[in-house]
Amino acid sequence: MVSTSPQLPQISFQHASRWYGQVIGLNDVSCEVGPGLTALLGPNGAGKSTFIKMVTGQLRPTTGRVLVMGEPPFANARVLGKLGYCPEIDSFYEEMSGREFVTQLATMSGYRGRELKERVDRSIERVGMTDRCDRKLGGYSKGMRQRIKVAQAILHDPSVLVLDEPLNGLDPVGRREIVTLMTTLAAEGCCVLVSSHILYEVEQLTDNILLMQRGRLLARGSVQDIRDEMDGDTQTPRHITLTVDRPRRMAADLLTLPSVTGVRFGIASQTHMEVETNDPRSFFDALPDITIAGDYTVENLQSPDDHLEAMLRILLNRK
Amino acid sequence: MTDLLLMRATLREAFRPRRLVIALLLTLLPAAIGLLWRLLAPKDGFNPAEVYDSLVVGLIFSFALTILSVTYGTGVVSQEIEQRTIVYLLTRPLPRWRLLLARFLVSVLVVTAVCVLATVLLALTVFGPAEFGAAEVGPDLKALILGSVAYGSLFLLLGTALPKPLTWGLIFVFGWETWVPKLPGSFALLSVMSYLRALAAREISVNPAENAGDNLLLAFSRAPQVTISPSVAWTTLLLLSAVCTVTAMIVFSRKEYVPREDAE
Repeated sequence: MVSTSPQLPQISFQHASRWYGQVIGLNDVSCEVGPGLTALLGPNGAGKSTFIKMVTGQLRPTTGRVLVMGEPPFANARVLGKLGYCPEIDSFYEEMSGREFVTQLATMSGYRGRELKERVDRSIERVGMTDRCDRKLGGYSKGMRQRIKVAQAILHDPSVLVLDEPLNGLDPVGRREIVTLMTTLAAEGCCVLVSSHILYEVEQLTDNILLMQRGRLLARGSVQDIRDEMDGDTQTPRHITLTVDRPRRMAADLLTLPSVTGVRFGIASQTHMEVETNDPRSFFDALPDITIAGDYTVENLQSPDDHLEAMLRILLNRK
Repeated sequence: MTDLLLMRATLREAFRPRRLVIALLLTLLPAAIGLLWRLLAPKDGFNPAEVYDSLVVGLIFSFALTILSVTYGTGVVSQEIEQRTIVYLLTRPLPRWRLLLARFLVSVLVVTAVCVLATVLLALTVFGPAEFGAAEVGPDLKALILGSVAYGSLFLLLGTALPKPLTWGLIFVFGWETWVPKLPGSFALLSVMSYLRALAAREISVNPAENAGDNLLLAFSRAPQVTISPSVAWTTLLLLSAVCTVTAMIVFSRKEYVPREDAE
Protein backbone atom coordinates (compact mmCIF):
# COMPACT_ATOMS: atom_id res chain seq x y z
CA MET A 1 0.00 0.00 0.00
CA VAL A 2 1.43 3.35 -0.99
CA SER A 3 1.56 5.75 1.89
CA THR A 4 1.51 9.48 1.47
CA SER A 5 1.64 10.27 5.16
CA PRO A 6 3.66 13.42 5.75
CA GLN A 7 5.23 11.78 8.81
CA LEU A 8 7.00 9.20 6.66
CA PRO A 9 9.93 10.08 4.46
CA GLN A 10 8.69 10.06 0.89
CA ILE A 11 12.05 8.90 -0.40
CA SER A 12 14.35 6.59 1.51
CA PHE A 13 17.78 5.28 0.50
CA GLN A 14 19.15 2.56 2.75
CA HIS A 15 22.80 1.80 2.01
CA ALA A 16 21.95 1.85 -1.66
CA SER A 17 24.75 1.20 -4.14
CA ARG A 18 24.61 0.86 -7.87
CA TRP A 19 27.29 -0.61 -10.10
CA TYR A 20 27.59 -0.41 -13.88
CA GLY A 21 29.91 -3.32 -14.48
CA GLN A 22 33.18 -2.22 -12.88
CA VAL A 23 32.06 1.38 -12.48
CA ILE A 24 30.22 2.50 -9.39
CA GLY A 25 27.44 4.99 -9.94
CA LEU A 26 26.16 5.25 -6.41
CA ASN A 27 28.16 4.22 -3.37
CA ASP A 28 26.43 3.23 -0.12
CA VAL A 29 24.00 6.11 0.01
CA SER A 30 21.63 6.40 2.95
CA CYS A 31 19.26 9.32 3.28
CA GLU A 32 15.64 10.28 3.62
CA VAL A 33 13.73 12.99 1.85
CA GLY A 34 10.44 14.25 3.17
CA PRO A 35 7.83 16.73 2.01
CA GLY A 36 9.09 20.11 0.86
CA LEU A 37 11.68 21.16 -1.63
CA THR A 38 15.03 19.39 -1.63
CA ALA A 39 17.86 20.08 -4.04
CA LEU A 40 20.20 17.40 -5.31
CA LEU A 41 23.54 18.96 -6.05
CA GLY A 42 26.81 17.78 -7.44
CA PRO A 43 29.15 18.04 -10.40
CA ASN A 44 28.78 15.92 -13.53
CA GLY A 45 29.35 12.25 -12.82
CA ALA A 46 28.53 12.71 -9.13
CA GLY A 47 25.71 10.17 -9.28
CA LYS A 48 22.76 12.56 -9.39
CA SER A 49 21.21 10.89 -12.45
CA THR A 50 21.64 7.45 -10.94
CA PHE A 51 20.02 8.69 -7.75
CA ILE A 52 17.07 10.15 -9.66
CA LYS A 53 16.63 7.10 -11.89
CA MET A 54 16.48 4.92 -8.80
CA VAL A 55 13.86 7.17 -7.23
CA THR A 56 11.79 7.14 -10.42
CA GLY A 57 11.92 3.36 -10.75
CA GLN A 58 14.08 3.15 -13.83
CA LEU A 59 17.04 1.56 -12.07
CA ARG A 60 17.31 -0.86 -9.17
CA PRO A 61 20.01 -0.65 -6.53
CA THR A 62 22.70 -3.33 -6.85
CA THR A 63 22.80 -3.53 -3.06
CA GLY A 64 20.76 -1.82 -0.37
CA ARG A 65 17.24 -0.53 -0.72
CA VAL A 66 15.45 2.39 -2.25
CA LEU A 67 11.89 3.09 -1.14
CA VAL A 68 9.46 5.69 -2.40
CA MET A 69 6.36 6.11 -0.26
CA GLY A 70 7.34 2.90 1.49
CA GLU A 71 7.72 0.71 -1.59
CA PRO A 72 10.47 -0.14 -4.07
CA PRO A 73 9.71 2.06 -7.06
CA PHE A 74 11.15 -0.09 -9.86
CA ALA A 75 8.35 -0.83 -12.36
CA ASN A 76 5.89 -0.30 -9.51
CA ALA A 77 2.65 1.12 -10.93
CA ARG A 78 1.35 2.05 -7.44
CA VAL A 79 4.39 4.20 -6.73
CA LEU A 80 4.49 5.66 -10.24
CA GLY A 81 0.86 6.70 -9.88
CA LYS A 82 1.95 9.09 -7.13
CA LEU A 83 5.24 10.14 -8.66
CA GLY A 84 5.85 12.81 -11.27
CA TYR A 85 9.07 12.96 -13.22
CA CYS A 86 10.49 15.67 -15.43
CA PRO A 87 13.56 14.14 -17.10
CA GLU A 88 16.59 16.10 -18.17
CA ILE A 89 16.62 14.58 -21.67
CA ASP A 90 15.31 16.76 -24.44
CA SER A 91 13.64 13.95 -26.39
CA PHE A 92 10.03 14.03 -27.53
CA TYR A 93 7.62 12.66 -30.07
CA GLU A 94 8.43 15.58 -32.31
CA GLU A 95 5.38 15.25 -34.59
CA MET A 96 2.97 15.61 -31.68
CA SER A 97 1.71 18.90 -30.34
CA GLY A 98 2.36 19.76 -26.71
CA ARG A 99 -1.27 19.04 -25.90
CA GLU A 100 -1.19 15.64 -27.67
CA PHE A 101 1.97 14.71 -25.78
CA VAL A 102 0.54 15.58 -22.38
CA THR A 103 -2.78 13.95 -23.30
CA GLN A 104 -1.10 10.70 -24.33
CA LEU A 105 0.82 10.51 -21.08
CA ALA A 106 -2.32 11.40 -19.11
CA THR A 107 -4.09 8.56 -20.91
CA MET A 108 -1.36 6.22 -19.82
CA SER A 109 -1.89 7.46 -16.28
CA GLY A 110 -5.44 6.16 -16.51
CA TYR A 111 -7.40 9.37 -17.09
CA ARG A 112 -10.11 9.67 -19.69
CA GLY A 113 -13.11 11.73 -20.65
CA ARG A 114 -13.71 15.03 -18.93
CA GLU A 115 -11.14 14.42 -16.20
CA LEU A 116 -8.47 13.78 -18.82
CA LYS A 117 -9.20 17.06 -20.57
CA GLU A 118 -9.40 19.02 -17.33
CA ARG A 119 -6.13 17.65 -16.03
CA VAL A 120 -4.33 18.28 -19.32
CA ASP A 121 -5.68 21.83 -19.55
CA ARG A 122 -4.81 22.59 -15.94
CA SER A 123 -1.26 21.25 -16.09
CA ILE A 124 -0.58 23.09 -19.35
CA GLU A 125 -1.97 26.26 -17.83
CA ARG A 126 0.17 25.89 -14.72
CA VAL A 127 3.33 25.92 -16.83
CA GLY A 128 2.13 28.86 -18.91
CA MET A 129 1.74 27.01 -22.20
CA THR A 130 -1.98 27.35 -22.88
CA ASP A 131 -1.54 29.61 -25.90
CA ARG A 132 1.22 27.51 -27.48
CA CYS A 133 0.29 23.94 -26.64
CA ASP A 134 -1.27 23.12 -30.02
CA ARG A 135 1.96 23.69 -31.93
CA LYS A 136 4.18 20.74 -32.87
CA LEU A 137 6.79 19.84 -30.28
CA GLY A 138 9.43 19.83 -33.02
CA GLY A 139 9.03 23.60 -33.35
CA TYR A 140 9.27 24.38 -29.63
CA SER A 141 12.07 26.37 -28.08
CA LYS A 142 14.12 24.77 -25.34
CA GLY A 143 12.18 26.67 -22.72
CA MET A 144 8.80 25.58 -24.14
CA ARG A 145 9.94 21.97 -24.21
CA GLN A 146 11.03 22.29 -20.62
CA ARG A 147 7.62 23.62 -19.62
CA ILE A 148 5.79 20.81 -21.38
CA LYS A 149 7.99 18.26 -19.62
CA VAL A 150 7.02 19.83 -16.32
CA ALA A 151 3.34 19.79 -17.37
CA GLN A 152 3.35 16.04 -17.97
CA ALA A 153 5.06 15.54 -14.60
CA ILE A 154 2.43 17.39 -12.56
CA LEU A 155 -0.76 16.39 -14.38
CA HIS A 156 -1.68 13.70 -11.85
CA ASP A 157 -1.00 15.78 -8.72
CA PRO A 158 1.94 13.66 -7.58
CA SER A 159 2.98 13.29 -3.95
CA VAL A 160 6.59 13.05 -5.07
CA LEU A 161 7.82 15.25 -7.89
CA VAL A 162 11.29 14.68 -9.30
CA LEU A 163 12.68 17.33 -11.60
CA ASP A 164 16.02 16.83 -13.32
CA GLU A 165 17.54 20.21 -14.16
CA PRO A 166 14.10 21.77 -14.67
CA LEU A 167 15.33 25.32 -15.14
CA ASN A 168 17.64 24.53 -18.05
CA GLY A 169 16.86 26.67 -21.06
CA LEU A 170 14.17 28.74 -19.39
CA ASP A 171 14.11 32.51 -19.74
CA PRO A 172 13.93 34.59 -16.53
CA VAL A 173 10.13 34.75 -16.65
CA GLY A 174 9.91 31.00 -17.21
CA ARG A 175 12.33 30.37 -14.38
CA ARG A 176 10.30 32.47 -12.02
CA GLU A 177 7.09 30.70 -13.02
CA ILE A 178 8.55 27.22 -12.62
CA VAL A 179 10.27 28.13 -9.35
CA THR A 180 6.95 29.50 -8.07
CA LEU A 181 5.23 26.31 -9.16
CA MET A 182 7.82 24.14 -7.40
CA THR A 183 7.69 26.13 -4.18
CA THR A 184 3.89 26.14 -4.27
CA LEU A 185 3.76 22.37 -4.68
CA ALA A 186 6.31 21.97 -1.89
CA ALA A 187 4.29 24.24 0.36
CA GLU A 188 1.22 22.10 -0.36
CA GLY A 189 3.06 19.09 1.06
CA CYS A 190 4.47 17.58 -2.09
CA CYS A 191 7.98 16.13 -1.87
CA VAL A 192 9.82 18.02 -4.60
CA LEU A 193 13.31 16.80 -5.47
CA VAL A 194 15.18 19.09 -7.83
CA SER A 195 18.49 18.25 -9.42
CA SER A 196 20.62 21.15 -10.48
CA HIS A 197 24.20 22.11 -11.04
CA ILE A 198 23.48 25.84 -10.99
CA LEU A 199 24.23 26.60 -7.40
CA TYR A 200 22.93 30.12 -7.11
CA GLU A 201 19.57 28.91 -8.35
CA VAL A 202 19.43 26.22 -5.70
CA GLU A 203 20.51 28.62 -3.03
CA GLN A 204 17.54 30.83 -3.86
CA LEU A 205 15.21 27.86 -4.17
CA THR A 206 15.79 25.95 -0.96
CA ASP A 207 18.27 25.52 1.83
CA ASN A 208 17.61 21.82 2.04
CA ILE A 209 20.18 20.01 -0.03
CA LEU A 210 21.74 16.65 -0.79
CA LEU A 211 25.28 17.09 -2.01
CA MET A 212 26.81 14.30 -4.07
CA GLN A 213 30.31 13.62 -5.27
CA ARG A 214 31.73 10.50 -6.96
CA GLY A 215 28.65 8.47 -6.17
CA ARG A 216 28.67 9.32 -2.50
CA LEU A 217 26.42 11.52 -0.47
CA LEU A 218 28.86 14.16 0.66
CA ALA A 219 26.55 16.21 2.84
CA ARG A 220 22.87 16.53 3.53
CA GLY A 221 20.46 18.72 5.40
CA SER A 222 19.95 22.44 5.34
CA VAL A 223 22.64 24.85 4.29
CA GLN A 224 22.90 25.72 8.01
CA ASP A 225 23.42 22.05 8.95
CA ILE A 226 26.21 21.72 6.46
CA ARG A 227 27.78 24.95 7.63
CA ASP A 228 27.66 23.68 11.20
CA GLU A 229 29.30 20.46 10.13
CA MET A 230 32.01 22.43 8.40
CA ASP A 231 32.45 24.63 11.48
CA GLY A 232 33.24 21.53 13.47
CA ASP A 233 35.92 20.59 11.00
CA THR A 234 39.25 21.99 12.22
CA GLN A 235 41.24 20.62 9.29
CA THR A 236 39.80 22.85 6.59
CA PRO A 237 40.60 26.59 6.85
CA ARG A 238 37.67 29.01 6.59
CA HIS A 239 37.76 32.66 5.62
CA ILE A 240 36.01 35.60 7.25
CA THR A 241 36.21 39.13 5.92
CA LEU A 242 35.92 42.20 8.11
CA THR A 243 35.79 45.88 7.36
CA VAL A 244 37.19 47.58 10.43
CA ASP A 245 38.58 51.02 11.29
CA ARG A 246 42.04 49.74 12.42
CA PRO A 247 42.57 46.45 10.67
CA ARG A 248 46.26 45.93 11.47
CA ARG A 249 45.78 46.56 15.15
CA MET A 250 42.82 44.24 15.29
CA ALA A 251 44.70 41.62 13.29
CA ALA A 252 47.42 41.61 15.94
CA ASP A 253 44.78 40.91 18.58
CA LEU A 254 43.09 38.24 16.50
CA LEU A 255 46.38 36.45 15.86
CA THR A 256 46.65 35.79 19.58
CA LEU A 257 43.68 33.42 19.21
CA PRO A 258 44.69 29.78 18.63
CA SER A 259 41.89 29.43 16.10
CA VAL A 260 43.27 32.13 13.77
CA THR A 261 45.89 30.85 11.36
CA GLY A 262 46.44 33.92 9.18
CA VAL A 263 45.33 37.41 8.15
CA ARG A 264 45.47 39.27 4.83
CA PHE A 265 44.98 43.00 4.30
CA GLY A 266 43.83 45.41 1.63
CA ILE A 267 42.10 43.01 -0.69
CA ALA A 268 39.07 45.25 -1.27
CA SER A 269 40.11 48.39 0.58
CA GLN A 270 42.54 49.66 3.22
CA THR A 271 40.03 48.90 5.97
CA HIS A 272 39.34 45.40 4.73
CA MET A 273 40.99 42.26 6.05
CA GLU A 274 40.49 38.57 5.60
CA VAL A 275 40.96 36.23 8.53
CA GLU A 276 41.73 32.55 8.07
CA THR A 277 40.58 30.27 10.86
CA ASN A 278 40.53 26.55 11.40
CA ASP A 279 37.84 26.80 14.11
CA PRO A 280 35.09 29.28 13.15
CA ARG A 281 33.04 28.60 16.27
CA SER A 282 35.86 29.58 18.63
CA PHE A 283 36.68 32.54 16.44
CA PHE A 284 33.12 33.89 16.50
CA ASP A 285 32.90 33.26 20.26
CA ALA A 286 36.02 35.33 20.87
CA LEU A 287 35.36 38.09 18.32
CA PRO A 288 32.92 40.21 20.41
CA ASP A 289 35.32 40.33 23.38
CA ILE A 290 38.24 41.38 21.18
CA THR A 291 36.10 44.02 19.47
CA ILE A 292 34.95 45.50 22.76
CA ALA A 293 38.37 45.31 24.40
CA GLY A 294 40.05 47.07 21.49
CA ASP A 295 37.15 49.47 20.88
CA TYR A 296 37.13 48.59 17.20
CA THR A 297 34.40 49.69 14.82
CA VAL A 298 33.44 46.73 12.68
CA GLU A 299 31.49 48.03 9.70
CA ASN A 300 31.04 44.80 7.93
CA LEU A 301 31.50 41.12 8.71
CA GLN A 302 31.07 38.43 6.11
CA SER A 303 31.86 34.79 5.74
CA PRO A 304 32.03 34.17 1.98
CA ASP A 305 32.56 30.50 2.71
CA ASP A 306 28.98 30.39 3.97
CA HIS A 307 27.72 30.78 0.44
CA LEU A 308 26.65 27.51 -1.06
CA GLU A 309 29.14 27.59 -3.89
CA ALA A 310 32.03 28.16 -1.51
CA MET A 311 30.73 25.48 0.82
CA LEU A 312 30.58 23.06 -2.06
CA ARG A 313 34.10 23.94 -3.10
CA ILE A 314 35.36 23.36 0.42
CA LEU A 315 33.47 20.12 0.86
CA LEU A 316 34.49 18.74 -2.51
CA ASN A 317 38.14 19.59 -1.86
CA ARG A 318 37.99 18.17 1.63
CA LYS A 319 36.61 14.80 0.54
CA MET B 1 -10.20 1.00 -21.52
CA THR B 2 -6.76 2.49 -20.86
CA ASP B 3 -5.29 -0.22 -23.07
CA LEU B 4 -7.62 0.68 -25.93
CA LEU B 5 -6.74 4.35 -25.60
CA LEU B 6 -3.09 3.40 -25.48
CA MET B 7 -3.49 1.29 -28.61
CA ARG B 8 -5.24 4.15 -30.35
CA ALA B 9 -2.40 6.51 -29.46
CA THR B 10 0.16 3.94 -30.63
CA LEU B 11 -1.77 3.45 -33.86
CA ARG B 12 -1.72 7.15 -34.52
CA GLU B 13 2.01 7.07 -33.93
CA ALA B 14 2.36 4.15 -36.35
CA PHE B 15 0.75 6.22 -39.08
CA ARG B 16 2.96 9.23 -38.85
CA PRO B 17 3.82 10.49 -42.36
CA ARG B 18 7.14 8.68 -42.89
CA ARG B 19 5.83 5.33 -41.71
CA LEU B 20 2.61 5.79 -43.64
CA VAL B 21 4.54 6.30 -46.88
CA ILE B 22 6.49 3.07 -46.35
CA ALA B 23 3.33 1.14 -45.46
CA LEU B 24 1.52 2.49 -48.54
CA LEU B 25 4.49 1.69 -50.76
CA LEU B 26 4.63 -1.90 -49.55
CA THR B 27 0.87 -2.19 -49.92
CA LEU B 28 0.77 -0.95 -53.49
CA LEU B 29 4.09 -2.22 -54.86
CA PRO B 30 3.06 -5.86 -55.58
CA ALA B 31 -0.16 -4.75 -57.25
CA ALA B 32 1.68 -2.14 -59.31
CA ILE B 33 4.22 -4.71 -60.52
CA GLY B 34 1.43 -7.19 -61.22
CA LEU B 35 -0.41 -4.57 -63.26
CA LEU B 36 2.69 -3.68 -65.23
CA TRP B 37 3.39 -7.37 -65.84
CA ARG B 38 -0.13 -7.83 -67.07
CA LEU B 39 0.03 -4.81 -69.35
CA LEU B 40 3.48 -5.50 -70.79
CA ALA B 41 3.37 -9.30 -71.17
CA PRO B 42 2.10 -10.80 -74.44
CA LYS B 43 -1.50 -11.96 -74.11
CA ASP B 44 -0.81 -15.64 -74.62
CA GLY B 45 2.26 -15.55 -72.38
CA PHE B 46 0.54 -14.14 -69.27
CA ASN B 47 -0.38 -16.74 -66.68
CA PRO B 48 -2.19 -14.96 -63.81
CA ALA B 49 -1.71 -17.81 -61.33
CA GLU B 50 2.03 -17.98 -61.98
CA VAL B 51 2.47 -14.21 -61.73
CA TYR B 52 0.40 -14.08 -58.56
CA ASP B 53 2.37 -16.94 -57.00
CA SER B 54 5.69 -15.32 -57.82
CA LEU B 55 4.72 -11.91 -56.47
CA VAL B 56 2.89 -13.08 -53.37
CA VAL B 57 5.87 -15.19 -52.39
CA GLY B 58 8.65 -12.88 -53.52
CA LEU B 59 7.24 -9.53 -52.49
CA ILE B 60 4.67 -10.18 -49.81
CA PHE B 61 5.71 -13.27 -47.81
CA SER B 62 9.42 -12.91 -48.23
CA PHE B 63 9.72 -9.12 -48.23
CA ALA B 64 6.77 -7.10 -46.94
CA LEU B 65 5.89 -9.53 -44.14
CA THR B 66 9.43 -10.06 -42.91
CA ILE B 67 10.69 -6.50 -43.32
CA LEU B 68 7.63 -4.95 -41.73
CA SER B 69 7.67 -7.50 -38.90
CA VAL B 70 11.31 -6.78 -38.18
CA THR B 71 10.78 -3.03 -38.28
CA TYR B 72 7.58 -2.85 -36.28
CA GLY B 73 8.31 -5.80 -33.98
CA THR B 74 11.71 -4.63 -32.82
CA GLY B 75 10.54 -1.00 -32.93
CA VAL B 76 7.97 -1.57 -30.19
CA VAL B 77 10.76 -1.08 -27.66
CA SER B 78 13.94 -0.20 -29.54
CA GLN B 79 12.49 2.83 -31.26
CA GLU B 80 11.56 4.30 -27.90
CA ILE B 81 15.06 3.57 -26.61
CA GLU B 82 16.74 5.09 -29.66
CA GLN B 83 14.73 8.28 -29.58
CA ARG B 84 15.14 8.29 -25.78
CA THR B 85 11.42 8.64 -25.16
CA ILE B 86 11.13 5.35 -23.27
CA VAL B 87 11.53 7.25 -20.01
CA TYR B 88 8.05 8.73 -20.46
CA LEU B 89 6.55 5.27 -20.88
CA LEU B 90 8.39 3.57 -18.04
CA THR B 91 7.51 6.23 -15.49
CA ARG B 92 3.76 5.94 -16.04
CA PRO B 93 1.56 4.00 -13.59
CA LEU B 94 0.88 1.23 -16.04
CA PRO B 95 2.18 -2.32 -15.66
CA ARG B 96 4.96 -2.69 -18.18
CA TRP B 97 3.58 -5.89 -19.65
CA ARG B 98 0.32 -4.13 -20.54
CA LEU B 99 2.18 -1.32 -22.18
CA LEU B 100 4.21 -3.78 -24.23
CA LEU B 101 1.22 -5.91 -25.17
CA ALA B 102 -0.82 -2.93 -26.36
CA ARG B 103 2.01 -1.66 -28.52
CA PHE B 104 2.74 -5.17 -29.84
CA LEU B 105 -0.89 -5.70 -30.87
CA VAL B 106 -0.82 -2.44 -32.79
CA SER B 107 2.38 -3.45 -34.58
CA VAL B 108 0.83 -6.79 -35.57
CA LEU B 109 -2.32 -5.04 -36.71
CA VAL B 110 -0.36 -2.70 -38.99
CA VAL B 111 1.78 -5.48 -40.48
CA THR B 112 -1.26 -7.69 -41.02
CA ALA B 113 -3.26 -4.88 -42.60
CA VAL B 114 -0.49 -4.01 -45.04
CA CYS B 115 0.16 -7.63 -46.03
CA VAL B 116 -3.51 -8.56 -46.38
CA LEU B 117 -4.32 -5.44 -48.35
CA ALA B 118 -1.29 -5.94 -50.58
CA THR B 119 -2.33 -9.56 -51.28
CA VAL B 120 -5.93 -8.65 -52.12
CA LEU B 121 -4.85 -5.78 -54.38
CA LEU B 122 -2.32 -8.04 -56.10
CA ALA B 123 -4.96 -10.71 -56.75
CA LEU B 124 -7.37 -8.07 -58.08
CA THR B 125 -4.86 -6.59 -60.48
CA VAL B 126 -3.42 -9.89 -61.71
CA PHE B 127 -6.62 -11.91 -62.04
CA GLY B 128 -9.01 -9.00 -62.53
CA PRO B 129 -12.16 -8.47 -60.45
CA ALA B 130 -14.09 -11.08 -62.43
CA GLU B 131 -11.57 -13.85 -61.86
CA PHE B 132 -10.65 -12.86 -58.30
CA GLY B 133 -11.99 -16.15 -56.90
CA ALA B 134 -9.47 -18.09 -58.96
CA ALA B 135 -6.65 -16.57 -56.97
CA GLU B 136 -7.60 -18.58 -53.88
CA VAL B 137 -6.15 -16.00 -51.54
CA GLY B 138 -7.73 -17.51 -48.39
CA PRO B 139 -4.81 -19.74 -47.34
CA ASP B 140 -2.37 -16.94 -48.12
CA LEU B 141 -4.27 -14.49 -45.93
CA LYS B 142 -4.43 -16.97 -43.05
CA ALA B 143 -0.71 -17.63 -43.35
CA LEU B 144 0.04 -13.91 -43.51
CA ILE B 145 -2.00 -13.16 -40.39
CA LEU B 146 -0.34 -15.94 -38.44
CA GLY B 147 3.02 -15.01 -39.94
CA SER B 148 2.73 -11.42 -38.75
CA VAL B 149 1.90 -12.64 -35.24
CA ALA B 150 4.73 -15.19 -35.18
CA TYR B 151 7.40 -12.96 -36.69
CA GLY B 152 6.13 -10.00 -34.70
CA SER B 153 6.40 -11.81 -31.37
CA LEU B 154 9.84 -13.14 -32.24
CA PHE B 155 11.11 -9.68 -33.11
CA LEU B 156 9.35 -8.22 -30.09
CA LEU B 157 11.41 -10.56 -27.93
CA LEU B 158 14.59 -9.53 -29.75
CA GLY B 159 13.65 -5.88 -29.18
CA THR B 160 13.13 -6.31 -25.46
CA ALA B 161 16.09 -8.57 -24.78
CA LEU B 162 18.94 -7.57 -27.08
CA PRO B 163 20.81 -4.43 -28.01
CA LYS B 164 20.65 -3.59 -31.74
CA PRO B 165 17.62 -5.83 -32.33
CA LEU B 166 17.03 -4.52 -35.86
CA THR B 167 20.43 -5.82 -36.95
CA TRP B 168 19.78 -9.20 -35.35
CA GLY B 169 16.32 -9.28 -36.92
CA LEU B 170 17.66 -8.60 -40.40
CA ILE B 171 20.34 -11.24 -39.92
CA PHE B 172 17.59 -13.66 -38.92
CA VAL B 173 15.41 -12.83 -41.92
CA PHE B 174 18.08 -12.75 -44.57
CA GLY B 175 20.41 -15.32 -42.98
CA TRP B 176 18.58 -17.86 -40.92
CA GLU B 177 15.32 -17.86 -42.84
CA THR B 178 17.16 -18.12 -46.13
CA TRP B 179 19.65 -20.83 -45.36
CA VAL B 180 18.29 -23.00 -42.58
CA PRO B 181 15.41 -24.47 -44.62
CA LYS B 182 17.95 -25.58 -47.23
CA LEU B 183 20.08 -27.53 -44.82
CA PRO B 184 19.74 -31.29 -44.95
CA GLY B 185 17.66 -33.26 -42.51
CA SER B 186 14.96 -31.62 -40.44
CA PHE B 187 16.49 -28.14 -40.24
CA ALA B 188 13.47 -26.73 -42.07
CA LEU B 189 11.54 -27.25 -38.85
CA LEU B 190 13.58 -24.42 -37.35
CA SER B 191 12.37 -21.87 -39.88
CA VAL B 192 9.16 -19.87 -39.46
CA MET B 193 8.84 -19.54 -43.21
CA SER B 194 8.65 -23.33 -43.60
CA TYR B 195 5.50 -23.38 -41.48
CA LEU B 196 3.98 -20.44 -43.34
CA ARG B 197 4.67 -22.23 -46.57
CA ALA B 198 2.86 -25.29 -45.24
CA LEU B 199 -0.10 -23.14 -44.22
CA ALA B 200 -0.33 -21.36 -47.54
CA ALA B 201 -0.01 -24.77 -49.29
CA ARG B 202 1.98 -22.96 -51.90
CA GLU B 203 4.39 -24.60 -54.33
CA ILE B 204 6.23 -22.73 -57.00
CA SER B 205 7.80 -24.78 -59.70
CA VAL B 206 11.45 -24.05 -59.79
CA ASN B 207 13.70 -25.51 -62.39
CA PRO B 208 16.73 -26.72 -60.43
CA ALA B 209 18.85 -26.32 -63.53
CA GLU B 210 18.24 -22.60 -63.50
CA ASN B 211 19.27 -22.29 -59.86
CA ALA B 212 18.64 -18.57 -60.02
CA GLY B 213 20.55 -17.70 -56.88
CA ASP B 214 19.82 -18.84 -53.36
CA ASN B 215 17.44 -16.10 -52.44
CA LEU B 216 14.57 -15.93 -50.02
CA LEU B 217 12.08 -16.57 -52.78
CA LEU B 218 13.65 -19.97 -53.37
CA ALA B 219 13.88 -20.64 -49.67
CA PHE B 220 10.15 -20.25 -49.51
CA SER B 221 9.35 -22.01 -52.74
CA ARG B 222 11.65 -24.98 -52.56
CA ALA B 223 10.14 -28.10 -51.13
CA PRO B 224 11.54 -28.70 -47.65
CA GLN B 225 13.22 -31.88 -46.64
CA VAL B 226 10.38 -32.63 -44.25
CA THR B 227 6.65 -32.48 -44.62
CA ILE B 228 4.77 -30.14 -42.30
CA SER B 229 1.03 -30.57 -41.94
CA PRO B 230 -1.16 -27.45 -41.55
CA SER B 231 -2.19 -28.50 -38.05
CA VAL B 232 1.45 -28.84 -36.99
CA ALA B 233 2.16 -25.48 -38.59
CA TRP B 234 -0.73 -23.78 -36.74
CA THR B 235 0.25 -25.34 -33.42
CA THR B 236 3.94 -24.57 -33.77
CA LEU B 237 3.47 -20.96 -34.84
CA LEU B 238 0.88 -20.23 -32.18
CA LEU B 239 3.10 -21.82 -29.54
CA LEU B 240 6.10 -19.85 -30.76
CA SER B 241 4.07 -16.63 -30.69
CA ALA B 242 2.78 -17.27 -27.17
CA VAL B 243 6.19 -18.20 -25.78
CA CYS B 244 7.92 -15.24 -27.41
CA THR B 245 5.24 -12.75 -26.36
CA VAL B 246 5.08 -13.92 -22.75
CA THR B 247 8.88 -14.04 -22.49
CA ALA B 248 9.09 -10.54 -23.96
CA MET B 249 6.56 -9.28 -21.40
CA ILE B 250 8.55 -10.83 -18.55
CA VAL B 251 11.83 -9.42 -19.84
CA PHE B 252 10.30 -5.97 -20.35
CA SER B 253 8.87 -5.99 -16.84
CA ARG B 254 12.22 -6.79 -15.25
CA LYS B 255 14.86 -5.21 -17.43
CA GLU B 256 16.32 -1.74 -16.97
CA TYR B 257 16.15 0.39 -20.09
CA VAL B 258 18.39 3.28 -19.19
CA PRO B 259 21.34 4.01 -21.47
CA ARG B 260 24.47 3.86 -19.38
CA GLU B 261 25.62 7.36 -20.36
CA ASP B 262 22.27 8.67 -19.08
CA ALA B 263 22.53 6.82 -15.85
CA GLU B 264 25.96 8.04 -14.91
